[in-house]
Amino acid sequence: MRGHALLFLLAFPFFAAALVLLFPQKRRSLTILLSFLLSLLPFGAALRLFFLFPEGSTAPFREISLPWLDPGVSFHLAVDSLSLPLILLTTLLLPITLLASWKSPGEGIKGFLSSLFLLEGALLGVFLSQNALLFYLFWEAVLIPMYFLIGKWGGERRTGAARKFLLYTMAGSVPLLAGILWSFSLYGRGSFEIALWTSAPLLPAALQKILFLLFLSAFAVKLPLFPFHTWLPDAHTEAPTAGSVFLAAVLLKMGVYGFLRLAVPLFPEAVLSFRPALIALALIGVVYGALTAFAQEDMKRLVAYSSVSHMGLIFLGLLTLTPEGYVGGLLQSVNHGLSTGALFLCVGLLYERTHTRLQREYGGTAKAMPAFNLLFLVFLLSSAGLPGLNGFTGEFPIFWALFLKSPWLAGAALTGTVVGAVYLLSLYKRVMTGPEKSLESGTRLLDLSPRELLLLLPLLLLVVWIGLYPSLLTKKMAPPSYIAPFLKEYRLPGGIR
Amino acid sequence: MSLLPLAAPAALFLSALLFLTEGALASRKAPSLRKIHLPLFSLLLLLSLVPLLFSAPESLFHGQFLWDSLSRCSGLLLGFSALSAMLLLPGYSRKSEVPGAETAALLFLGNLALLLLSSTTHLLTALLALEAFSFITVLLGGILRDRRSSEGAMKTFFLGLTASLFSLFGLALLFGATGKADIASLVSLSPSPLLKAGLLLFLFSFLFKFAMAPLHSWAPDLYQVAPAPLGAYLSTAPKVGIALFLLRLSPALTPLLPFLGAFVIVTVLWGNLCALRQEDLRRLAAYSSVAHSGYMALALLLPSPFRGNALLFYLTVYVIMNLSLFQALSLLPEGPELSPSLENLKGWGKDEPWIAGFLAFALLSLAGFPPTPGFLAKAILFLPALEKGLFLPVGAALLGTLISVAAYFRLFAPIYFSSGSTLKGGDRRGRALLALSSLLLLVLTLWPKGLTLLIKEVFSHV
Repeated sequence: MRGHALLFLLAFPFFAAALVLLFPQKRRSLTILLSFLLSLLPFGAALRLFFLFPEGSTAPFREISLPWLDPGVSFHLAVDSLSLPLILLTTLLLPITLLASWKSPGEGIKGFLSSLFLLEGALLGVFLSQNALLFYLFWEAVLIPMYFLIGKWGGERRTGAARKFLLYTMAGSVPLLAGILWSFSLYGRGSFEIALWTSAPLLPAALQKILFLLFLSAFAVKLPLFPFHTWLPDAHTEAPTAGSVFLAAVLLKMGVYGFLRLAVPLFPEAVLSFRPALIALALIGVVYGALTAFAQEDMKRLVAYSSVSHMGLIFLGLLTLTPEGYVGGLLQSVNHGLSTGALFLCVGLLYERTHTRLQREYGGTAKAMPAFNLLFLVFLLSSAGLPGLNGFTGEFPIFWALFLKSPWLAGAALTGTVVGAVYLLSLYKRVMTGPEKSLESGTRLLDLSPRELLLLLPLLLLVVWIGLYPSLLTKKMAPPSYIAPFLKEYRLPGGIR
Repeated sequence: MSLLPLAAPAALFLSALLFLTEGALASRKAPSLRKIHLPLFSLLLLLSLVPLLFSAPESLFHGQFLWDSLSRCSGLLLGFSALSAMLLLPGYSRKSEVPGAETAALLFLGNLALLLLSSTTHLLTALLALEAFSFITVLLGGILRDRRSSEGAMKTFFLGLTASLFSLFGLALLFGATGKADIASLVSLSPSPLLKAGLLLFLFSFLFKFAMAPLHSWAPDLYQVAPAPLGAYLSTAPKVGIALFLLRLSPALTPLLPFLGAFVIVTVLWGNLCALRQEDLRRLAAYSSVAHSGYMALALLLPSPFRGNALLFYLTVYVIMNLSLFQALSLLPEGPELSPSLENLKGWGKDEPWIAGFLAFALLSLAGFPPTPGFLAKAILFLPALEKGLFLPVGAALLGTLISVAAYFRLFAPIYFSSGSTLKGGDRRGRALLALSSLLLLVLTLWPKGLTLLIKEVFSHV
């Protein structure tokens, strides 16, 4: 039973979440250090999986299935080329965010660390589940630790933001539950196994459409698709740094994953018929998110709105239903996770020093923090899609796919990237250059400590590595067998619609 | 014919008599609640549960008393509920105002009435049992005898009286139309308008006591004034008795399914919406129990094998999680003018991490969050309902669930997100009981198959 690695990967974070509660409350640094060491274990397991995963494989890997509940709910886990990069991203970010939480949450550090482990476990559950009900179970389980992370350890308006986050996502996922339960009876196999559903004959088009909308409501809120994004700026801004990182880097990708894992293989005809509307909404998201980000004074809010824009572009790539769009979208999901996660970390580091996130309070930070200056610039440029850094390697296939579909579409989507470069560089200009503001108030900002360097360096390494050598990931990102049939169709000569 | 099945009701009745005698003889001032009443109560209750182990199904008095595994199930759940109420009383902040012997006697009598209700196939017996319990409701609810509790109890009494008059009229119509009043012969008759009208009117009192909206208005008033430990009993035990009787009646309800469906929709939406607006914790709990009645009634709309499974699963889970909620609430101090509100939960997460954790678990389960048993209960319920095409009630129930998440999560903000003066109350027993309920919920979370197997076993003998 080689699938036991997956069982370990999934169970360990929950175990660690309980273990953390036993650590000494008084000795804060020791507690964090121990949890950091614990968090390296799932990352190691994920890394091992990544290296063992065969290149170009489209089949589930390391499957394990245990019976659990009566009507067709089994504890069925597997990794495939779709979930692998997201699993790697999730497990990588936990040690980094733990290091980043050295100072920030004032009290209740054990609960905070425990919540982060629970969050990791639930996210891994989402990406590993091969059973629709199990998937839903973890999908919902993600909400609870996140709700507490925002509501207990967040900023000033945290209670409202936590509630808004919870209600928006619940409003999306209740229809998902209805859809999953209904699918169970429609497929009539007496099972929630996703593989059984995808191998069954497609449902009639009318039913597909209704079910697709039920499923989409959950994915659209998570993505977030315009106009379901309004929870995002509040949640990202009010969450503590670790929460913001996970929200932007992984929680949004749950929408991408759900769309590819369930919506496309089960309801391809519905996807096609709703595609124009979805493309329009995603495009609005790209432009609207970019313009709104440009208008933000609060740095965290700026990065949050930039996420709306970037996620719109990722969704556009996926909606082309071409191999290029697929790979670009998935790669960009990882890239966005890395660079936006890094940006949230950077803003968090600044905030810890000055206790403000407003751009106008900063200036000339580059002089005081030269090392930070370099890293921040690289992450900004990566987010802006500079060739040579990872953002470009994801955006390029997306634009390529969009261009093949319609040059106008590609052009419209490009405006988002152009505005993106503007607001990201203007952020850099206002915060890092100019006369040194911190001198006026009499306190000089300290440059990065070794710990802070340590937490940003892995991200820097990946940003550059993927930027120069994207095959590192893409060779293990071949579209899985349940998606591939719906991608090929549009690659026929002259068949590009 | 063996009279063995009558052992359980007889034990309940004799225990009640014993406590009534003791109550009449003992002086009011003696601090006997913890020392005498509680151990005696527990002992007698356990003794009355012993006959539940005897398994031979038996129908006595021409179906007036049907002793099968469903009745034994009912006896168990009722016993848990009554024991929970009694165990919480010594830690209750106004315990000196609660007469111990009388409360114990009333709990025994209440269980007797509800056991009879869930074990009869005759409508007249059912109505009598329900009426008997409605007196007990009023007495338990108003046991503090101050102005507020008397008012709440009286409201319940008069409204309940009106509802039972409707039921009596319905029963008269049924008997006039058919000459029969037992479930089996009602099922075999073809539905006539008179039969339908009779059944609908007959149901009136049952839906009222089950707290289905719009017949629920007594529940918040009563729960608010009843002592929290007795609120725990009043919000769970009658649901057990009535739900199981309705399950027995359900084959005869086929012509009324649209009406029931409408009740379900109104109840799940209205109950949850009202819960969203409550500041008073016990009113919130009351509206939550109204909403849960709606979910349980949804089970009655299902086709046969699913109906019983879904209802019994939901009922069991509901009893445990709602008892948890009230067990936590009974740790809060009360007064003649003081009713615990959301404010009183401030800082629990920090000062009482375990209690807060147990309460949070119960709340998540009540909200139907996966993977808690509350979620499984809903999944087991909604799945066959969708298969049968009950889209409207299920849609309403899902919407209600969404609203309920907002309602229950309002409690988390004071518990975890703010610190403040904690009002401590309760004693070891109350805490241990809460821990036990949470443990049961945890077992159901990790091994729900146990309960489904048990339920399968129950219905294989019915």
